[in-house]
Amino acid sequence: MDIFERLLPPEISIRRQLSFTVTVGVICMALAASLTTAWLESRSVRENLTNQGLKTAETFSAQSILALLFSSKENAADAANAALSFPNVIHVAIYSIDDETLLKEGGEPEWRPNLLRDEFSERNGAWLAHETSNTLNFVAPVYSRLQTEIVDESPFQLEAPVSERIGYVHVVMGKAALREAQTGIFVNNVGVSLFFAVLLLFMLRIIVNRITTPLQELSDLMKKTETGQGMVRAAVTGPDEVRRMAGVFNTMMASLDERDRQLREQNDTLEARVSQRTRELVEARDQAVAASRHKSEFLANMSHELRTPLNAIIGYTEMVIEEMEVDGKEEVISDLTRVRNAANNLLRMINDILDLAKIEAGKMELWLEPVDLGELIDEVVDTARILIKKNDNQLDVIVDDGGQAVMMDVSKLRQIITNLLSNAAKFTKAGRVTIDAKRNDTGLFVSVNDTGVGMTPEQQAYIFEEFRQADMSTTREYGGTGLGLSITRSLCALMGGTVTVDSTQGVGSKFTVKIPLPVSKGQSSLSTQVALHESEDPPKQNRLDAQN
Amino acid sequence: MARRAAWTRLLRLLIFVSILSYAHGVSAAPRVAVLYPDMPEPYRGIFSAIIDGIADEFSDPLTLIPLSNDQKTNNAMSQLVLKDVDVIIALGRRGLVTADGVAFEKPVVVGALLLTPQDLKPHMSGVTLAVAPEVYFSQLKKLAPQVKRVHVVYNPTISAWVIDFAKASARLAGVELLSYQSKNIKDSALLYRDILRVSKPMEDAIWLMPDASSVDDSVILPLILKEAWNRNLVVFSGNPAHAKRGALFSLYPDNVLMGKALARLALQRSNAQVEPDRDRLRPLRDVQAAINLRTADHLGLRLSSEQQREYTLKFPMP
Ligand SMILES: Nc1ncnc2c1ncn2[C@@H]1O[C@H](COP(=O)(O)OP(=O)(O)OP(=O)(O)O)[C@@H](O)[C@H]1O
Ligand SMILES: [Mg+2]
Repeated sequence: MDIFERLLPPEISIRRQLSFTVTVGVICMALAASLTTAWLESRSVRENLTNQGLKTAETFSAQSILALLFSSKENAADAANAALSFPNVIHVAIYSIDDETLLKEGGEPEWRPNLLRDEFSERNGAWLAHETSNTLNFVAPVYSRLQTEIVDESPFQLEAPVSERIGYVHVVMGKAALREAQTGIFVNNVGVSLFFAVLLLFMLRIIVNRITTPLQELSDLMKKTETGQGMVRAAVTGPDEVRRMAGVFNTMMASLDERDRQLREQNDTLEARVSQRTRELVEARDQAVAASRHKSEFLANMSHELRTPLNAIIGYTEMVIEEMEVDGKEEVISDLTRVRNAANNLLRMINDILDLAKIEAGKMELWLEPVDLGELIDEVVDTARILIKKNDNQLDVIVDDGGQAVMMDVSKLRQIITNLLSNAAKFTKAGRVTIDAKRNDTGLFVSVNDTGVGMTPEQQAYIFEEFRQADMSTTREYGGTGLGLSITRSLCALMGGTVTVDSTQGVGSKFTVKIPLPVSKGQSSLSTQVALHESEDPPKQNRLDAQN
Repeated sequence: MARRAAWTRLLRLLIFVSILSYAHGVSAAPRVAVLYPDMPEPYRGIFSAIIDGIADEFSDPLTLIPLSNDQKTNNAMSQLVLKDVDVIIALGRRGLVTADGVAFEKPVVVGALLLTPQDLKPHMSGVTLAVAPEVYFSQLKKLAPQVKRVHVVYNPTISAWVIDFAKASARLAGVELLSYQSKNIKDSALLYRDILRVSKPMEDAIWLMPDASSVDDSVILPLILKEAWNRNLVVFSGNPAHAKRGALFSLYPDNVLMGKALARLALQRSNAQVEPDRDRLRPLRDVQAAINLRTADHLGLRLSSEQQREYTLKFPMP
């Protein structure tokens, strides 16, 4: 098997494999057939030769009777010459019964029978006594009378006539004819076989071409498809199997082409759609950015324009109140106080809007400085104490600053905590508000816990949006604009942190602020890289105050 | 056709005779059984002719015992039949062998066989197929009176007794008989060669004896006949085939007459006529003759048409 694999590796082409197999097979067959027929033929030639030799020996034996009877070779010369004239007979001899050579024609024989041996006396007719590589040696006994005469027994004689053995003849046949026949037959057979082998190979070549040419074409085609040429079709020719293959290939190629086409089409439309959408989106974004900037700029300008007269109003109102207090005109004071409060509220609102606008316009800057967390919390709690008392709430403060100052934008942190604390105080009645602030290596954590009205999960989802309150009645009941949490979230985001809510309606709410340390500038809602140093803002009006 | 008719007649006869012989019981005439080989043609015709000859000599029917080639059956069958028989005529080799093989003390006559005196038991006598020499010599004298010498090669074990007769007959006929003994064919061949060398035309004749080792039809005979033709020698023998091939004449048995002779001999023996031992085996005298007219012509022998009529066979056949 190994040898076969090595001789005929499976990778080589069908044509080669077939040619090789058939060539080897035909040559083997030719040789085997030639050898067999040559052998068979030579056997029959040999048989013929043997028969001829036996017959010649018998005839020669019959013709040698007189010569032996009279011991005269002249009597046998004719017979000897006659025997020699037979084809292939190269030597004849007559021996007397006492083993003396009476006649010898055709040179010295290669072999001479030893007539005194027992086996010779047992033989009746001619036999092939000896065979050398070149000769066949036939020996026949010679009887005093012809064997044919004594076949019938005569009823008139007591004893059958005896036939005495009087000598032997020796006929030598050359094997040259046999050889010639053998080689002749072999050469002829090989010739004929080779002729047919060549014919067969020629036919095989045609047939193999018939098979392999379409296959080759098919494989060339397939190679073409590999290089990406579409619309490739095979010619449906050649043997049935190849035709079927080509058919299947064509069907496959057709469906592939169809799929290609569909894909291209889809691709085209998709691209068109994407580019259109992108265009639309870019447009929308640009519009939105522009609108937002316009809005923010407008708000910033407007709040600035509004704040100036409003500060003047507040300032004058306070001045008037102080004068009135000196004059003791209490009824006017209460009215004026209302005006001042309303103006304060308005100012605070404007400040809020301004803050928000600034943040949205990306104009809010971080101003980091070392902050003592405990001091900051105390400060905020102080300002919030009034609001907490107003609703009969109890306030707990837990601070853990880790024993060192935090690098923070203090005003923004204050605003965050104030917003959360004011909400907790506002939406809790006769309850408990806990503020818990602590810091570690990773960040600053401030949570504001209350036992107030709480919120539904749906409400929790939108309370961080601008101007959104838990429900419509909130403004009526508690007042406010719905901007507090929105600003808180924006500020947290500005410092790279988050604010989250966890609340149950009727039970309470917990707002948690996480600001990773050290503080880095986070994302503002609309990140535009405008660096503005708008430090002209006055310190913010405490919104806790304003609510009174 | 004639032979077949004879044969069917014989068969019918046999059945009839068998019944008769049993019914008859003992009679004065001897009861004769003929043992003969049951063989196909040409032998059947020969034996039926002999039996015809035998039957002619007896008024009473014969007991015929055909013999197959199975000798045991022959003996057994013969033994049953022969107990009521007075004399046996045994024909051919099977006849002699069967007669010899059965317990039969009464006389046996043997015929249609080439015999030597040694072949016969004391209770047997017979006529051999070898033709009596004086018949040859008289024939020779009749045809070629110039012949002075007759050469004969013979096998002493078979033919010595014939040669004894011959010597006497030759003297009577006025020819010189030169006899040569030979025991094998090679010696015979050399003898014939020498004879042929010394023979003189029309003075020497060659007598071919019927014994096997003295003449051979295929090799020696052609040689002799050829030389004899070349040298104008007379050749004669006891085989008509030789005459056909070129011998001047041949003498051969007249079967019917031979049968009669055998029957007569049987009668003599059954009558208990004691004969001299020398006479127990007789050479054949009842013969027919064949002649080769071409050879006769070649030898310059003129035969009158009357003379020619004496020959039963004349070669070459017209
Ligand atoms: N601690 C809390 N308990 C219950 N509801 C709260 C709490 N904090 C906020 N909310 C709800 O979230 C809404 C939004 O709060 P936000 O601070 O933004 O607005 P506001 O307090 O109503 O108005 P503003 O703060 O602008 O004066 C509130 O209206 C309220 O319904
Ligand atoms: Mg609020």
